[in-house]
Amino acid sequence: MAKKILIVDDALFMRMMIKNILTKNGYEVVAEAENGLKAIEKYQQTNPDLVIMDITMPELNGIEAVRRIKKINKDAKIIMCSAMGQRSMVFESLQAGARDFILKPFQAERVLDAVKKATYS
Amino acid sequence: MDNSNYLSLFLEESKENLENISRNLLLLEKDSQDASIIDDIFRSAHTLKGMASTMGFNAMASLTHSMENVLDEVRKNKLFLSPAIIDLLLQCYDFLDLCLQDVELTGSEGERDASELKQGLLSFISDTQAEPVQEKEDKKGQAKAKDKQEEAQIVEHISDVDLDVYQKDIISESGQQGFNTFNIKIQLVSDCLLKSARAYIVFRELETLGEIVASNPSAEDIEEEQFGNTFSVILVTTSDVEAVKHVLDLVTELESVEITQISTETEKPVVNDIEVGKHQKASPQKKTTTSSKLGKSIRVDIDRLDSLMNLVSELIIVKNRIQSENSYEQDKNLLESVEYLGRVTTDLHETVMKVRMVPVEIVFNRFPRIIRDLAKETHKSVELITEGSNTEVDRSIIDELSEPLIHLIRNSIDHGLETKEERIKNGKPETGYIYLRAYHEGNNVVIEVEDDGQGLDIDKIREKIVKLDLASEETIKETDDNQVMSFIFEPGFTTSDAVTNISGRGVGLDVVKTKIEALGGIVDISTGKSKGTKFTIRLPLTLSIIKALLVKVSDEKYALPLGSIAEILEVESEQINKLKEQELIQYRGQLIPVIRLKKLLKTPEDNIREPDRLIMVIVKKGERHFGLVIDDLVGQQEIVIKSLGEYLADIQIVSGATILGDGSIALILDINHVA
Repeated sequence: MAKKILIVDDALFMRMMIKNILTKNGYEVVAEAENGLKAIEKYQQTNPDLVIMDITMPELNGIEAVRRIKKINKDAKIIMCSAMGQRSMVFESLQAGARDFILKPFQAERVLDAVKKATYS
Repeated sequence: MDNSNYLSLFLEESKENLENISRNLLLLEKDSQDASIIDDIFRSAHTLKGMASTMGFNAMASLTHSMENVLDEVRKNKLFLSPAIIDLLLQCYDFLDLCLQDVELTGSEGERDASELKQGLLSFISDTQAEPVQEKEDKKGQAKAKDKQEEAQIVEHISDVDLDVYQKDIISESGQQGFNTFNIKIQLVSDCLLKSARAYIVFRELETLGEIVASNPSAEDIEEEQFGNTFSVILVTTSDVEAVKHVLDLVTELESVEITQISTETEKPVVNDIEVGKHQKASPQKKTTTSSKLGKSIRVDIDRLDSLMNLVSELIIVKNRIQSENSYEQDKNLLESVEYLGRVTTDLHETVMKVRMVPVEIVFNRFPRIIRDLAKETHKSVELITEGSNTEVDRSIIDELSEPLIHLIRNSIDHGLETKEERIKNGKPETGYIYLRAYHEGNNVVIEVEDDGQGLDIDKIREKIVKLDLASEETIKETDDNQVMSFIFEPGFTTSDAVTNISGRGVGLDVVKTKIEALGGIVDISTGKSKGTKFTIRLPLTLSIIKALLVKVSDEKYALPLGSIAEILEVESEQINKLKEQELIQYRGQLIPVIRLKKLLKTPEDNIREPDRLIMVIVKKGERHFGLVIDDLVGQQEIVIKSLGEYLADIQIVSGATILGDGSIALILDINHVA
C-alpha cells in the first residue's frame, strides 16, 4: 500500500515540488498544510505515515508543530525541510523528535532516500 | 583539545549537579522509596561522570561511575537503599566536593584516592549480584577471581589506544556483563551539509541501542563541525552487529559504515584502527553537551561582566560630567539628548546588574547537608525551612555569603536549639526549626537566620560585658537592649558560661560581622529568652553603582547612599536638645541622636556662625534613625563606587570615593559607621 504523506510548507511552490517528486514515485500525498496549526489539524484528520515539515512558517513554526504532533503520537515520523543556515533550528527540531532533515534546495533522490528510510518499517 | 576554556563551565555545572545529588540524597533519607529522586541523582551522577571524564579528572569520573552503578541497582529494585548506602553516597559527595574545590583552586583534582569509597560501593553491588549471577550464568559465576583477571587483561589491551581510565572501566565491565562493544566508523556523503546535525542523528539512533562511550573526534568537536567527513564512535550495547547495521541503514546521507567488534576475549583486540581518545577524552554524553549549547541561556565569565560593569560606570561618570557643564541646560537639544542618555545609562546599569544577579538558592542549597550533619553530631532533631530562595543577589556577594551564613547556622544548632529532652520539658515540639529567609527590601536584600531555640539572656550579656571590661557597669545599665545585643559582635566577646550553660553564644560572631560589613551590609540580632534568636543580614543589591545624595560639609562634597536616607529636614537649631554630651532631636515621636558631620569629619574651620536653620538628613541604620547635620545639599545622582585601596581600608566611616562630573572627588560615607 502506498505510504501516506502530509506535506507542510508555507510556500505553495515548495509543496508542489515535493508532491511531484513523491507522487511520481508511488507515494500518496494525503494532505497539505501551509502552517504549523493546520499541520496538526491535518495530521489528526489523516494520520499519515510521514510528515515533511518546513521550519519557518507563520502561525506556528515547524519546530513547535513537531513537538505538538509528537505529543499526539510519540511515534510520528517527521522529516524537517529547511533552508540552509538554520543550523540551530535543525538541531532543535531533531531534539523535538524529528527523524531526519533535508536541506533546500534539495535533490529529488535525497528526498526519496529520506522518505524511504523514514517510512521503512 | 585544550580544555581549560571549559574549566569554569565545568565547575559551575558540576557544582550544580553535586548540590543536586546532596539535596536529593537528603530527601531520600526521608523517603527512600521515591523512584524519581533516585532517577534524579542517577542523572546528576551520570552528567558529572561525563563532564569529569571529558576534563580528564579520572578520580571523579571513576567514582561517579561507581556511584552510578549502585544507583542503577537501586533503581532496578535489585538493591535496597539502606541508610548505610546513603551515608556512603554522602561520603562520595564530600569526596567529589573536595575534588571540585581543588579543581577550582589549582585546576587539577588533586591526588585523592577514591578506591576505598569505590570498594565500599562495590561491596553493596556484589552482595546483590552474587545470587543471580551464579544461578543464571555458570560461565561468569565460576569465580570472581577470574573476572578480575579478565578485567586486568582487557584493560591492558585497550590501553593501546589510550582510552582514559573511565572508558576502559566501562568497556571491560560491559564485556563482563555480556555487552557488545563496537567500533563504528562512519563516512558521510561528500556533499553532506550540516554534518553536525547528521552526526547528531547518528548518535541519537545509536543511543537507542546502547551507550556511546567515546568518539573521535570528541563530541564537542563533532558538534562544532570540526571534522572531515568521517568520525568514529565506540558503542556499548546489548544488540548485535545486525541491529546496529539496521539502525544506521535508516540514516540518510551516510556514504559508508564500518562496524568492528571490540572483543574482550581475543588476544589482540581490533581496536588498533580507531584513534579514539588519543589526545582528547571524548564525552559519552552527547545529549547533554548538545542541549547545553542549544539552550536559550549562555554562561559568561564573571570577569567579563565585571569589566562590562566597569565600562557602564565610566559611562555614568561621563554623563555626570556633561550634566555638570552649566551651559548644557540652555541648549534644548543638548538637554534632551543628555536626559535621554541618562535614562539609557540607568537602564543599562540595571540590566547589567540583573545579569549579574543569581538566586541565593546557590548558597541555601548547601545548608540541608550541613544541618543534617550537625544535627547528627549534636543529637538534636532539626528541620530547616527556607523561604525566598529565588531572591536574587549580586554574584560577587553570593560568593562571600556562604561562610557567614554557615557560621550563623552552626551557632543556631550548636547553641540556639535545645536538646530534644529540654525542648519537651519546655513544652516545645521535639524538633527544632531553623528558618532561612531571603527577600528584597528597597535597595537591600535581607537574609534572616532564625531559630526557635532558647534565645539569649540579655541580663547575662550585660554581666559579661562588664566582666570583660567592654563597658562600665553604669553605662551598660543605661544602654538599651538593642545596643547591649550589639556587643555580642565584638571581637573579644567569646565565652562559655556567658549566655547559656552549654557554651558561649557569640563565638566568632565578630567574624560574621566583619565579613558582612566588608560587603557593605549590616547584621542585626533580635532575641528573647526561650523564644529563639533571629539574625538579620542586610546587604546592598550591588556593590559598584549606587544612587546617592551629594551634600556639602564645609566646602567638601560627600555622598550619602540614597538607600539609607529616610528624609531631609530643615530644623531650628533650638530644636536640638542636649543630654550629657549627646545631642538629640525629636523625630516622629522619637528622640534620635544628632551627628554633626562637620565635627565627625573634622573639616576645616570656616568661622561661619551657625545658622538658625539647619539642614538635617535623617538616615536609618536597620531600625534606628539618626540625624546628620550638613551645610548644603548638592543633589541626587548615580555614583560609581571606587575603592580607596588597601592603605585606606581602615577608615571605616568612608566606604569609598566617587568621581564627580566635574572631575572632583567625593567621599562616600558609610552610614553604618557614621551613625
